[in-house]
Amino acid sequence: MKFLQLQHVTGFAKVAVYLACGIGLLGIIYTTGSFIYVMFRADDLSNISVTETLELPSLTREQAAGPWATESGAVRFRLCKIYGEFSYLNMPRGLVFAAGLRVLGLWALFFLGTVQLARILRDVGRGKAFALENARRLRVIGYAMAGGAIFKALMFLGSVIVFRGDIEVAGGVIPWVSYVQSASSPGLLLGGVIVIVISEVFRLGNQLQEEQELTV
Amino acid sequence: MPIIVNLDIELARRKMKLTDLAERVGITISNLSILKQGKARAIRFSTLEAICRELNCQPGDILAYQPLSDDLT
Repeated sequence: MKFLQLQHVTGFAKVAVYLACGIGLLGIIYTTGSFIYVMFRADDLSNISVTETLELPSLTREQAAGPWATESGAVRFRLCKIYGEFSYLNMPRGLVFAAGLRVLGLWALFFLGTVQLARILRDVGRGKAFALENARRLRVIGYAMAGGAIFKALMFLGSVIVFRGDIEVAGGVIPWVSYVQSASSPGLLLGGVIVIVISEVFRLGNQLQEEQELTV
Repeated sequence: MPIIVNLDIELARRKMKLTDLAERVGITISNLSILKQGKARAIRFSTLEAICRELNCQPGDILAYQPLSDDLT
């Protein structure tokens, strides 16, 4: 691929960019495949691998009458991790779709960022580090990072609001603080803002370089 | 730009080529061409000194100030 023809950049940077592009591409492929798989199997109670369990002894007897009842009478909700988020076994497809869309969107933004980074390194190798195009690419990376943090928060909180009835059970309400902690990515947001500021520095650098090149 | 570069006139008077001047002054032909075309943003004193030395002229022979029409009002 032409955009990956990196020359005269440090070996570590080259390896890191190649690795990041590859991980981004794999992330998109894996997420797409697993999303399709889970959408078909979301209602299947029989063959979901259990990673963690949560005992909720305060639940009512009506809840205990379901297929998840234990010998003690307490209801055990078997939670399985789908895309790193807790969900119920018979998770509604709408919530699976929202979670999959969120993760796919984040991987797509990651891949977009790594492609822009590879093109920046290509220009650095050609001695055009402060090209105006690189300032624009850095701005794109910054918007992808900050936008990704906002997108993740909105999608997560939106999913919780829309599917609240499927998530919260009488006696087993998940504290709202957990929702906020899961939805927020302050590091990603701050990182995006920092990269946007750096893009302005590159734009100024382009002006200085132009002045220097036109000084005889 | 209000600063006019008359390098081509001085070169024609001395029947010197741009490439010869660039070699004598010690800068690239592309840079000298930028100066000759009036696209340069700045000129170093060292470059101006070298040009004047090789062309045996004064800085005023190479550079002239022509104010824009807005500046006159």
